[in-house]
Amino acid sequence: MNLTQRTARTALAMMLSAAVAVVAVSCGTSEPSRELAKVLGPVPPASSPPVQMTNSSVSLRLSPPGFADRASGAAMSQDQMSQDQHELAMYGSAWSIPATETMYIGREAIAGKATRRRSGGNFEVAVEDDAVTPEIGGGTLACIPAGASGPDEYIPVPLEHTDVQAAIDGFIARVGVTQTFLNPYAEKIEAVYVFPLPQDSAVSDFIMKVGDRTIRGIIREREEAKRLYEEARAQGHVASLLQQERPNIFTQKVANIEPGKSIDIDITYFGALPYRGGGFEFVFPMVVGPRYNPPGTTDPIRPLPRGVVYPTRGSDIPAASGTNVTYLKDNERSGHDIGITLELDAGVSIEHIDSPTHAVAIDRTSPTTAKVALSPLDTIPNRDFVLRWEVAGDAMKTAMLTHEDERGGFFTLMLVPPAELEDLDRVPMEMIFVLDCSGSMRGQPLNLARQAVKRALRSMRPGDTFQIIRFAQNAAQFEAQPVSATPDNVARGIRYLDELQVGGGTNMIYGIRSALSFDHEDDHVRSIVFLTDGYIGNEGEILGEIGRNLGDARIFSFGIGSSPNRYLMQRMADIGNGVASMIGLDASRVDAIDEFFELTSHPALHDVAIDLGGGATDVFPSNMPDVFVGRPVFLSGRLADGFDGDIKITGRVGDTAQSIECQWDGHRDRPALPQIWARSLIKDLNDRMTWSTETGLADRIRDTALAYSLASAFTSFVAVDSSRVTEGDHGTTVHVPVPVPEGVRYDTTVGRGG
Amino acid sequence: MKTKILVVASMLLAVVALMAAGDDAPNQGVRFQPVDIFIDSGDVPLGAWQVEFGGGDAVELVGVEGGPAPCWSEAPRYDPAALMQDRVVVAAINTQSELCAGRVGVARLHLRVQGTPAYTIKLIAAGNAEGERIEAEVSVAEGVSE
Repeated sequence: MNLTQRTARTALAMMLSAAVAVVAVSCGTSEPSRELAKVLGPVPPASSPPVQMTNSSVSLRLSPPGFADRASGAAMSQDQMSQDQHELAMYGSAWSIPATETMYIGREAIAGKATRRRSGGNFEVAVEDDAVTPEIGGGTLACIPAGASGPDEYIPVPLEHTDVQAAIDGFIARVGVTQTFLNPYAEKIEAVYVFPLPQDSAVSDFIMKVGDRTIRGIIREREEAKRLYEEARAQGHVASLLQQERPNIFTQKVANIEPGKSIDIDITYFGALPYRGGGFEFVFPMVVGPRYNPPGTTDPIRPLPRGVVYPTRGSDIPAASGTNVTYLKDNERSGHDIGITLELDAGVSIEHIDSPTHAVAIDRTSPTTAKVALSPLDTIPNRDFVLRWEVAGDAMKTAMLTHEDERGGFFTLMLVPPAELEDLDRVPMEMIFVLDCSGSMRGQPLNLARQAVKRALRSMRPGDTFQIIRFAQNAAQFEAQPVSATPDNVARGIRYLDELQVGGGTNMIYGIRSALSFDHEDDHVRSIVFLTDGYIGNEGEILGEIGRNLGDARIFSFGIGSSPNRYLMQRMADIGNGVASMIGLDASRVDAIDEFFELTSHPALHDVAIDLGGGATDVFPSNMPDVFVGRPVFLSGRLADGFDGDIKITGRVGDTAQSIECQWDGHRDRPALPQIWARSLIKDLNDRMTWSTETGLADRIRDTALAYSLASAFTSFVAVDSSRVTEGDHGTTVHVPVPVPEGVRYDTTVGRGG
Repeated sequence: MKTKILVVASMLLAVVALMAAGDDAPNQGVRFQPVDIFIDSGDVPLGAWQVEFGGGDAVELVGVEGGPAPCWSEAPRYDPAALMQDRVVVAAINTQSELCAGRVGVARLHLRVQGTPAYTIKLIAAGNAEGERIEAEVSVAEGVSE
């Protein structure tokens, strides 16, 4: 660690970035007004209504001017209202608000500040606008029937707010996440929060803020960090511990939070952004879905109802292992909310930018840049936040970014397949559709999966063959062997889909084994298409099975639901030499299956080789993936000495050699690249651990993570405030309960033990 | 590597042996304790610094905090690669317009301590706002856990 001008610039840039993000937060907050806002209703039922219907409440979304609600498309345009009005839109097909109900915004009752009346066929509620002040906050407007347990449904939790600040440069994201823990109880507590992050995120910095003091956490071996934390906790020090449970699931512990006191945890991570369906995507997951853990799972992600202490009934999983996620019931709400601001510098002209999941405010600051803020009134953390932006197709070029420091040179390369591939046709295909029919897929998720497969069946060509496999507690299949895609067979396949029922656990391993077990014809390319929410706790077993038995098949995974297990989806596709897509819960996204057909309608670029003159080393993924039309891949590696910009990339399409030009803008200060490279190495080693018998993989992961200050399965961050000892013992441990993801039923998942 | 090193301080070695508490220390077992690092740059405003702290096998680093002076309140960075070799190397750069001169507390290290370690501190580099090397002295003082 030398004190250099480069380091100074880096520090300066990071500080400036943080300062800019603060400005963005300020811009995202609307001015309170004393004007009245009108409720328009009823609007036509949305195909996937964002309204949350519970036994005793009707939840509505409240949007300030300028925030378009993309989920329903029912938002009032800004020119229909004055600047000082708030828009209150109501969704759902069966709703009413009797005058006897009390209205809440978040946890705060606004009765007395709202009036309501029926006007013709519409129902109007006027809300004094100062009811939506920053003190009350935004979020869900709940109308609770008089006499119902309104305030009782509010569950105090020790996590008050999560704030996300992202800065995106091209396809590299630097994201800061601040978790504000606040002890709402009368006694000292330890807070435990299980939360998701993007599965490829390189968590490289960890800071604990106690009052106005800032303590940087230290990366340690996992067990050592845990020991240090527990010793500090036992001695009464404020301490925090960040552990990785899966590449996309983390546990945050904060010890000795005194009554009424607040402690902030700042986490920083880097990542390369995926390019899907014609655009880049920034995804911030907000909740861990309830997982099913098949018998024998050694490291489960265990869903528990709030207030339940493990072990629960009928489980054979040792209590000491795994991770517990506690969930709120349908009629329970906590005050935890989330804010997201994002500064985008795409580097090329942005053609379109939008969030398909949340209400956002978008400020196009230039043709190539934008500032985006999550609506402060769409802040319930119960589904993934997705922001997409499209750039001009001809602006997508293979490009390499490099960085040098005292550790040497690093690069990240976005490899865009040559356009000529689009002129080539594919060979006949054998498609194996594998549907998750477990309890968590009940309702809209399975309906969407059915629709997607039907759409795919209707798109098949006569020379293709297909098979359908369903799995839940067990696996079953449409036919003994794949059948030709004749009109008659397709019709029978559609009837089979219509008759599928949901229920039971998620024994995905049976579905995997069934899909990989068929003999297949050599002149057909086998594609296995998984449609699932991925809510399982035995990801390693699944990935290991694929790694060992894939053969020459490809795997295409489709994540269903508002918060699918993106880690599992992406790793299945990575190991399966295919691609992953997310369908979400919106029926309009069923056409994501079309992207699969577009990808597979042309041959892929294979045997990709990179020659960087002086040489490139340690390039990951180590098994160079095939490159599909419209799906760039990202490679990360080390630069050997002597690199001077001479880049040659070659590949083959069938038997034809292809050469790909690559842009390089010279060495620039990009401190994210070493972290991204190290994370790519760790990901590669992790994947090999699931199916390889190599020894020493865990040691390599640990050493890499320690050297590059990264959270991993074998390293954790710990921070202790040794300056002060709090009074009393270490207090009660409180798990932060989270909502089940939107579209997932509590009673068929958490309520039944996952 | 093409990096220009603008700050290469004179190697001031200030070894400060602080024997903790003495024989009548209340706790000879495991405890958590802060130590404060001070740098005296004389009349020259301090813009950057890097030190190596030592405490032997009895000490583990569990947190790095800024110093009490406003110009060094940001948490410094530590070198994770050095930590793998049981070395604690800490550094910070001040990019603010206001810089401090004289003897200022630049960092507080949070430690897990066992027994009575002897602390050492070595200044690796110090620089002014222009990135030029400057003379400075470093010292360490045991903090109190309240």
